[in-house]
Amino acid sequence: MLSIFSPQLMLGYLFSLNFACAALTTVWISLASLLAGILIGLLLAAGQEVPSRIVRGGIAGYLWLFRGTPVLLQLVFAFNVLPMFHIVLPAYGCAVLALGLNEGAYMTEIMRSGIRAVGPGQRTAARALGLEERQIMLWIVLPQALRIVIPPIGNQFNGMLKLSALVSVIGVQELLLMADQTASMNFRFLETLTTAGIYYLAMTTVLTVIQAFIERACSRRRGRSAKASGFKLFSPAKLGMVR
Amino acid sequence: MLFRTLSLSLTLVVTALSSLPAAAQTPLPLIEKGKLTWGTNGTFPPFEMMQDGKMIGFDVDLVEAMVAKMGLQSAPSIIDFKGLIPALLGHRIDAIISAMYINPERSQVVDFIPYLRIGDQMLVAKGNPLHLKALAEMCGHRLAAAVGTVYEKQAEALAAECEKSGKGTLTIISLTSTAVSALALREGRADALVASVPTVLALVKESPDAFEITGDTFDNNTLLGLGFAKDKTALKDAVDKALKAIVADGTYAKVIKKYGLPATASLF
Repeated sequence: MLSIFSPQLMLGYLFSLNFACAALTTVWISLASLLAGILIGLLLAAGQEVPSRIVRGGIAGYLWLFRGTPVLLQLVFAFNVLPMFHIVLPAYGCAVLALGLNEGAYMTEIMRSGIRAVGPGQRTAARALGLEERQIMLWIVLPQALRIVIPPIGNQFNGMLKLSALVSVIGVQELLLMADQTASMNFRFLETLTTAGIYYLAMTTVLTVIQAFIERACSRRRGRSAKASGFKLFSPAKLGMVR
Repeated sequence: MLFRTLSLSLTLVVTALSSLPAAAQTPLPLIEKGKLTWGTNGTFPPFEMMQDGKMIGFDVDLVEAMVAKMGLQSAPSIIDFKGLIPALLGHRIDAIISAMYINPERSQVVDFIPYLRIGDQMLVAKGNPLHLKALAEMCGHRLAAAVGTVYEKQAEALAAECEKSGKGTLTIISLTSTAVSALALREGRADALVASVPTVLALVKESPDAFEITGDTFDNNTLLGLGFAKDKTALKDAVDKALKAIVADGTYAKVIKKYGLPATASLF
């Protein structure tokens, strides 16, 4: 019958416009969901320090719900159940909504661990300098926390790139759906799935390189000695607190 | 002495005679002995649909009648439509019995036994808000289709035509099954879908306040086939024999009538 594997066919798919566009869709959905997740994470992680019990309870409830149910369930819920409440979002809207909210839950925990990792000495020193709680969070804690959480966030972005494959079930034209549709015409699943696999590998590899670059850049700025840059950056003179 | 010789030769003759039918009956190349493992989508009324946790439908009844003639048990395997042919080629199912349309591309990898003739029709939301009367009018609107189906191919051909004629872009909503496509139509994510005539009629009957059919039927000589792997000709022949048997004894006609299919659907 037909050969098991046709390299020409696979190369054809690899450089076709269809797959390239689908890969772009995968990237933008992953980016959008990750960004939404980071914003939610930052907000809620900071929100967990608020004195209000209701706010903290609400955040705990959100975390419980979105980390306790499968992403696929949240996705199908957004796609099939929300319309019953007259919220009909297009497929990619549902994708970013479900993935973003799910990511936000995990990001909250990541941010919280990052914030916690910033030594209490920093906060004490900041308070001694006369900074308010909000200023401490914004200028002292969060910048240092963000540097600490770069590896976990890179990890999440890597996971998100692959999690985006789930949105194929709600009809978003991303890599996996493109592979499925192409194969459904000529049944060459090996070539189409290998092509999709190569694209995913390429994207995650590029991401890993970018992450390594960012980590190195941040550690370089931190300096060889804390005295050299850390204090200079946050010196009272710089913060305009010395009259 | 004579008695012993006689009884010995009698035993030998009986053994020889009893082994003859066994020799004539080579075991079928089934995945699981004694069962016909058949792959189906599970949500394509009236051919297969879930009711109270059980799968019923035209295909279900047909299979049960055929396996009774073959002395086997029915073992349905519910798989997404696009996964049926890979499952067959990967020897995870013995046959595809899921109202699969016979077409040249599929016939290259699967051997079909035609078992029914049907046509296609368009389904729209109740009230036909966009006043669609034919598939060609869908340019600029949204058509839902399941991945791997002939409906998806029709949609893609139509999309190309729409591009060429400049009448607007056809948006194809690619979902996992026709049932999900119907749900998308119901929710307003799609403006229309195409399915077999019996299916759209069943959908309208199930939800008369959500759907209505529109336009004429088309592709009225589409054949549905029972699919088999190309190297399992013995199995295909056995099932063919069983099919002919149930046609001969009237079961086939009875099942057609039970599910409200027209008499023109019959191939025999």
